[in-house]
Amino acid sequence: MAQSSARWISYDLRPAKQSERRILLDVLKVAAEAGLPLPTYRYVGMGAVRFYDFLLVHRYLGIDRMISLEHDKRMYRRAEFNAPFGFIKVKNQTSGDFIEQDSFSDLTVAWFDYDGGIGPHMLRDISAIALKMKLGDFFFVTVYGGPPSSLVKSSDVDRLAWFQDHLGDAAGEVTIENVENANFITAVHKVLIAAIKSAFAARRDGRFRFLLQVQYSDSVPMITVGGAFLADGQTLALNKNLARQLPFLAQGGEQLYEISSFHLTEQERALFDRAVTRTGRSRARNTLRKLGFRDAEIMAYRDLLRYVPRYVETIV
Amino acid sequence: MAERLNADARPEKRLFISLLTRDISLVAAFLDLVDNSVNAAVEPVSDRLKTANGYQQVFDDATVQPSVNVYLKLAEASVEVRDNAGGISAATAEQHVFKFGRSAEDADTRDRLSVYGIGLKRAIFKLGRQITIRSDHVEGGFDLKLNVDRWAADTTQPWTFPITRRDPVPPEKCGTTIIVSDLNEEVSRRICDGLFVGQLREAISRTYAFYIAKFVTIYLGDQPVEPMIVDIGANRTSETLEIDGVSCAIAAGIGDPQGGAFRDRSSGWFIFCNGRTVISADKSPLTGWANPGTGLPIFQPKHRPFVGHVFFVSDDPEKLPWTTTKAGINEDSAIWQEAKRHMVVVGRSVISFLDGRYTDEGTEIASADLRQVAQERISVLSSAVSARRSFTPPPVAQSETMRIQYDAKVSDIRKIAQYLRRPGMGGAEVGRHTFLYFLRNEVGEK
Repeated sequence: MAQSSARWISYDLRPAKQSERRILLDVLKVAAEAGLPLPTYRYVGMGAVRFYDFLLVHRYLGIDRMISLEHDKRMYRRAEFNAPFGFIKVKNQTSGDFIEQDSFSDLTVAWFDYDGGIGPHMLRDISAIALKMKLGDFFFVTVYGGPPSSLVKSSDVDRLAWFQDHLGDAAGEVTIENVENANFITAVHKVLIAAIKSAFAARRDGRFRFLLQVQYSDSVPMITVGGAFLADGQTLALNKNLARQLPFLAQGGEQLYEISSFHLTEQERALFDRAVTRTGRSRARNTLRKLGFRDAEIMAYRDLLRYVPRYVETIV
Repeated sequence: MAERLNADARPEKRLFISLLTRDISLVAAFLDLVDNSVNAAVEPVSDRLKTANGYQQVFDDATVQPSVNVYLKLAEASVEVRDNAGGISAATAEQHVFKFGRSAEDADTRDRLSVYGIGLKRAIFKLGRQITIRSDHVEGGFDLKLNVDRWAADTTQPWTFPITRRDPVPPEKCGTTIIVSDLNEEVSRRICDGLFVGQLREAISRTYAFYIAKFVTIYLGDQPVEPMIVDIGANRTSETLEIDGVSCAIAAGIGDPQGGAFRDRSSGWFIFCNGRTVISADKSPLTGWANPGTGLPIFQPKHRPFVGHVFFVSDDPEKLPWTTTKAGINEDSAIWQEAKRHMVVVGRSVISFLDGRYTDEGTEIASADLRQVAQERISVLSSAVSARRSFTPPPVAQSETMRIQYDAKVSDIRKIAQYLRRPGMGGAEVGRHTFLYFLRNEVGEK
């Protein structure tokens, strides 16, 4: 069985990943304000040994029924040991096995953060979970946005062939330009969107509403896509709240929002905070421009003001 | 004397609509609309497109360049197909375009892809209930606004469509736009299902591979569709035949691997009618497979290098062996039956060679070696116009090695491994070791 990337990736210092987590939480909070009873949901994720998302989901949403999936047999013992809350059940299962065996009778927020690059097993999971999700369930996937290891040295023609042969019709809109190294995340995005749309197309009791489509990179490119399976009335209320509170996320479209990484000193950060929270002309903004920061960076910071983490060292 | 009566045999519009639309796929419906645009694009040279040689000459003619753009826009609420071809005159629309079927007088000898005179109607009825067509032509085009439900409920005879005349325009402003809104629910769902657009792109890519980049540029959304061309190796078997005004060129050889592998989607038989791909990568009994006696064997992975082309050409499209949807073959057609017999003969030489790739001695012909067997790549058209030839399999190389394979008890293998103080030894390694031991110690080979 493949090994978990938690063996050698430290999740402590990944500011873009942390922003992504916080944005996803905000999406769920907005959904709660629109009437969905989030505290009564269960959360299914892949907590590895750090359980960062589990900590945040409980603290910010009050969810206290949780399942963490760990497919790696050796990491499973560590995961069980490190689970921060007694109500987290760690299961030594692949996501596919979990979807197959679970009844999905409880309202669920499921976030599958996969190891490795895009692959057919993810599309299988998407197809399977779409048949089981109930109205009100949430589903997010996070995938590495670069080429899988088997394609790293392949030509673009061979990469496109791999997409067509292994991912089938879900790769129908992927072009040869998309599979170039610089654009590969676009190919992954197209496949995920097509797979999710297709998986839910047969459901007549509701529609899958994309709520989050983001890309980010701390050391490697990553992409998170997901949303909720909702009735029409639920979608309307959610749309309004999202447009107001998270306007930078594309509403209903298929654009990928890039979570910028900011490498700022504390002084620069303070300047950014002032610049983006004052309308009209601003001395802080002018100072930033003189320091060489572009307007696009200032705008990006404005979107992410509430989500960019601050890391401090404590001496005990 | 019995009283003579006339039983009412008038057709019902609803039946027509149902019959026309039920058996055509949504992809085929879009291709019906694209066919009309492509037909218009090739009209200037249609006189030269009567034989496979004619197609090859036009293809090689550098003065023939893409002159028509076709734009397809698909959305949940509506679809639009627009082109800048020559348009349809009001007179043609009034007298021919909206008839259900084609009389002998209506047949246009310049048509290469338009066969039965129902493609446009079938497609728009398949798609939705509000139809808007605007066509601009140098002699004056037309407008049509049609509510299908209201039209179907109108029992007035004869059947007509309400068109209005448009003013003449200069040639650069000619073209036709078809917009269908109030889409049928199944159509709307399919368009939004995440896969349909990709499937349509692939279908366009395969179907119009010959026409794209020579006569037309086809856009699906903002992206142009790239042609999917399956070339064949120059080392091939080929022959031509002519039946009742239809020429047929058949070739079979080795395809082109990608990434070191022969792909399923690029293997099997490819059938073309007047340059339009009708059947793609077929491995079924339709094209003679799975009939080990009188046909070809069941298609297996070892046959993936096989590529066969069948290129039908006729200046009377109705004689070609395609179905009314142009997405299939009329298997009862005498031309097809004859062609299929030849396909089996042509294909057998290549299949026999591929069957011999894997032997009991464990010798095999690697994919890389197959490339050498295939020789250089040639196009469908080049193959279609070439003289009769035969596939030449390479001489069988005398291998210096042979595979030894036998079963042995696991417990015995473990005993040997333990004896050799290598408990992790696998069966293959034990086999090699014992073989070499006997060779050296009993036979005396060093």
